[in-house]
Amino acid sequence: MPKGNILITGTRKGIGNQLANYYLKKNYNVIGCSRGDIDFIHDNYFHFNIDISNEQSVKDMFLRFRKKFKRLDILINNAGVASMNHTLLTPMNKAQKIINTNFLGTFIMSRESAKIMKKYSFGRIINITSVGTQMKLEGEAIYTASKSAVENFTVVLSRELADFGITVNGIGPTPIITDLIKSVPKEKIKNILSQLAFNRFTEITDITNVIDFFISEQSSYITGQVIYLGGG
Amino acid sequence: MNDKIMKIILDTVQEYNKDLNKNDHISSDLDLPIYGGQTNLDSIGLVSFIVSLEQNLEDALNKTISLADERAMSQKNNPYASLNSLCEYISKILNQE
Repeated sequence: MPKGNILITGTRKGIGNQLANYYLKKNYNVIGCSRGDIDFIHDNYFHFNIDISNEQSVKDMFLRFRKKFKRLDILINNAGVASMNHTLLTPMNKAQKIINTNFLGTFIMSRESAKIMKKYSFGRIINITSVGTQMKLEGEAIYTASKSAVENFTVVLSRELADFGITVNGIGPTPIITDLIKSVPKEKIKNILSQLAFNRFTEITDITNVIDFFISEQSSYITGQVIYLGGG
Repeated sequence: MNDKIMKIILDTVQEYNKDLNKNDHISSDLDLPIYGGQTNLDSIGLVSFIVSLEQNLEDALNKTISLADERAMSQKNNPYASLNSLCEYISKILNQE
């Protein structure tokens, strides 16, 4: 018997893909979504092929989700895009894409998820943010602005959803080796790591450790918090 | 269609009232205000009711609908004024799609 239904955005690759595999191993029903097909199959995995910044697509997905799964216990807003650019060289459409996916995607997914969670007076929403919001790094103005928006949204949403038994928390990893940072110069990464208490990349187990804490039934009094990894 | 919508609204009212004290009930009188003034519904109650109604409509009609979109905010006559006005508003949204 699966432990519950967990929805993870951005499961095609990177952190989302690893989280999907981790929670499948922990016997959850994992429902994932991404803008492309995935390359794995599992009896307890179901995939939606959508762009999370498209409101109608998200609403259509949730209509199907409700019919198939009825209940949603956990949402992990993981999907994100990044771009390293000096602000003076950042095209408007790039900035819009980052805000649309990282912030508005998180907003729409959270809104629709909370509508389902509310019915059972239980829910856990986890937003993946970034230690970059604390480090104020040059070249990441739009990316960190989008993640700062996610962090403020996390706190305010936690207050709005408390009446429905839903907690909302965030986790800010340091760089983790995924496609998201492949375009970031090595020197830049080295510089970021050197500013942390622990000068290493985030491992997936660092992230699952915090998520497991947030989603635990015993964490019903933990909400509106953002935990940064590595002393960032 | 209006009969079907009204049935979904009244079922949602019943579902909403089910676990509440009578003092917190939404009235099933079609012309009484459902929110504000002397009514029992507070703002969180209204959010809760609208979300449940939206989901019940979507499930019954097998299509997505947004009850709290800009059209609701720009209506001269508040669509949430009574169950009757809510029914009319939903019918109007569905006809516009």
